[in-house]
Amino acid sequence: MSLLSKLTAKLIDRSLYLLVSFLTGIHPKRKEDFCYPPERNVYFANHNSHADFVMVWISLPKPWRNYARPVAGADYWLKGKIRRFIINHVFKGLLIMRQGNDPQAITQQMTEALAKHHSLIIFPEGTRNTNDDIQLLPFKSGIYYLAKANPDVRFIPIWIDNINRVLPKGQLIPVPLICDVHIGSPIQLLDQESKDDFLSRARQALLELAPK
Amino acid sequence: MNTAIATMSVNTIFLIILAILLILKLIDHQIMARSFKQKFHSLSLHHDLWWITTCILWFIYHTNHIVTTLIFFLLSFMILREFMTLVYQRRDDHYTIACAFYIVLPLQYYLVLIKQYNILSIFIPIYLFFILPLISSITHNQHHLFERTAKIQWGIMVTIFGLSHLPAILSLNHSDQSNILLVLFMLIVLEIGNISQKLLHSIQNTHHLMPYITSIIFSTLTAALFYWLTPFSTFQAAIIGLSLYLIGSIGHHILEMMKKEMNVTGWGRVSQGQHGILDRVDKICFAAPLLFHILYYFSP
Repeated sequence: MSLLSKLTAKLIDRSLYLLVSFLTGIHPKRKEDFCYPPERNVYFANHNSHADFVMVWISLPKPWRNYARPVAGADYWLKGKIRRFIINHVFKGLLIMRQGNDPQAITQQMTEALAKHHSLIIFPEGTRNTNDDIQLLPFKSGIYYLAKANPDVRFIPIWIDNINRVLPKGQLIPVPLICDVHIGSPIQLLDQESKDDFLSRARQALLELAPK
Repeated sequence: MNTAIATMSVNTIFLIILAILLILKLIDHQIMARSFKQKFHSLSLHHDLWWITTCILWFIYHTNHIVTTLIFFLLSFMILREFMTLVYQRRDDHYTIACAFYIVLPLQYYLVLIKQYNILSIFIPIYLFFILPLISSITHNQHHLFERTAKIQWGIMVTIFGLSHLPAILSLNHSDQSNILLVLFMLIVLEIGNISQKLLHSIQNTHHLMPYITSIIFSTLTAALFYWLTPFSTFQAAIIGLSLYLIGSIGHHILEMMKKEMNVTGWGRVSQGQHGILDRVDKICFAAPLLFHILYYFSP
């Protein structure tokens, strides 16, 4: 990576941080709140808006952020030079083929990244939840297969609160509103745990973080 | 001009306040017994706020009108964000709230900046009041239209209109004395009233009106005692202090009722109901316009 693109990436990173922080009041969490190493974690969060992974990204303190890679759809992020630059150089995202590719290849791709000691940010609902009346959609099974392939990896639930109001679907202008990011304690796949059990346990862990 | 002020520069006054705060902090840390401290826990919590306020005021004294306006612009932005976070319930409000942040807030502080006092005191209460329902109905959803609009108008009045009078007071040239001392006067009166009310709440169990009456008397006496910070006489200062404290308390009470209706204990973070900045400055938001009008119309 050339010096210029490094500088540009740094600049975009800082300005995104300032913009999101200005709109939502989100700051990185304290390092003391993290009782596990920054490597080989899978952060899973609820998905309401395009800004979600930026919210998780900003909430993580520096060492944890350096290891974290958002898992993003290649079909969206490879369109256009700017998007490609941002996802590759600013967020160092892990691009996956959402359509037409077999799920095993995606799990394989993520396992490889975890083997390189990276951490991942995923949204197990699979799609953005744009319905105000539903708190959390059912999880897709991908998170279970990822846990099965990497039983030693920590799965950390992250609840993003209020972001759906900052920029609701169909609106062009974001409104500054205070948001919150709640980070839960890690869960792991148990021995002999079935797919449905793990999915509902993970979903429950996420829902428990939601404010009443 | 007062003799007390003549011998004492504004810088000295700020240094004295900081010294008093330091002594209070030392007392708080070392001498006070544990049980006593627990009783007045809410008081020690405010210490940091007093330090910050004093330092900001001192900084404002040494800076110009543009920086002062900018500081209060940012403060307004933060309390508007706190207010709207709780008020935003429906997506139909999106445009109205965006309008509050991106049009009303900058425009009001621009009027402060160019010192257009007449327009700044009617822009939000009259013109915005007239057109806000129109902006709210842009989504063609007339459900609860006036209720929604009223809440947002209230928020704009308190957080933008109210607070913007503080930099306006500081920019008024009513005499050769610095207006920073008048703002200091207002803050002291409000805070003394606040403290006496809290103290009595924790001690007295006789009558529920007792703390209020005592705090009114205390703030009036404080105002009379600190008359030398203002261009007014002792009696005038007492009356002004009394009215500032009354309107501040009424405002505080109204915002408390609003919080109760929204089922929160503070204007802070959405989920936890923590204390926000608006919880600290609500009295100032209500008292500042009054002080401005007193200065504007009755300045000696």
